[in-house]
Amino acid sequence: MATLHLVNSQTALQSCLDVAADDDSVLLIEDGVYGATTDVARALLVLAPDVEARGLKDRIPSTAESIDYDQFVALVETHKPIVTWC
Amino acid sequence: MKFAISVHGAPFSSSAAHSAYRFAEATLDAGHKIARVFFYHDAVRTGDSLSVAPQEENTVIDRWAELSEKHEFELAVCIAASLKRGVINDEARDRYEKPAANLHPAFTIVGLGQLIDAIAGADRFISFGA
Amino acid sequence: MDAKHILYLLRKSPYSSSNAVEALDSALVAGVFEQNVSVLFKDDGVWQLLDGQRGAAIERRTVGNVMQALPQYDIEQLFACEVSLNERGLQLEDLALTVKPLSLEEQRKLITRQDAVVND
Repeated sequence: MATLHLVNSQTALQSCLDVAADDDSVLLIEDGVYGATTDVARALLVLAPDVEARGLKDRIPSTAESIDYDQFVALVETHKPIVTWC
Repeated sequence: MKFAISVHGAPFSSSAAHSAYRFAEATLDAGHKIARVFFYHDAVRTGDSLSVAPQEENTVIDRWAELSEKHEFELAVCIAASLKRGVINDEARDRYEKPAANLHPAFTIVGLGQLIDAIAGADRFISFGA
Repeated sequence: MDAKHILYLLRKSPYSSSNAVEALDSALVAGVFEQNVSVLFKDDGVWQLLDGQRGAAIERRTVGNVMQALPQYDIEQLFACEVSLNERGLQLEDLALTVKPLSLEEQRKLITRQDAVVND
């Protein structure tokens, strides 16, 4: 089963990307969503309320998929383990 | 599925308790069960019943309490982490002769073994860091 | 209850907060509960491994000593990120614990084998 990486700070993103496999999912939450405002050479997911709270809606490239908490739960169902990077 | 959740960040210096709450709520809405929510490190402060939240900001503690009561899962605060941070129940107040106890009644003081027990018994483990 | 594969991913420096010691305590308890525990020291977490620590100098528990208890609790899968060690100029002989250095690819494989990953 693929791993879900949960990144909640911008500084932790690189450490995560260094070990994330191509078929893993990387979800940015809390301050981690700032990480999607710069170019990242892989698919990223961002948590919508955290993007909205920070006024970043127009600054997240369309390549990053915005998801809500229900979709977050669905990701956890289909991934194991879940690794938190903070 | 059965979920074990741990929370590591303190309210107001991190979003961990809030993110974990929203996640827990969505988990239960999707029909899953929560084995236990374990508050560790600075997150033990989430169980402090004396906190008064500013008007625009909801106190997450009452929402945790409601959710755990409705869905019958444990809000567990690590004993070693909470004693040193001053989040204590009546028993600890008496034992260490402190002037007050502040642990919210919806929270339970447990040992680290309860984190491992929750992980071992769950289909998924997720942690919300500081 | 079946034993789970639990990885402790330790990335915090030893004295910035109590998190490093508390995470090690958690790993030790997982060992007592007979889980299949692995520990990976990564990023600033590799500083926990440095020999010669003396927490008493700042009235703290010595993280290096807590860490040395891991093998006594049957936790023998001890790893460190090779890149993190190199970036900080740390050689294996500088460390207070015998760990196996892992490449990024090996860390990826280690994570894939886990049921749960606990961070500090």
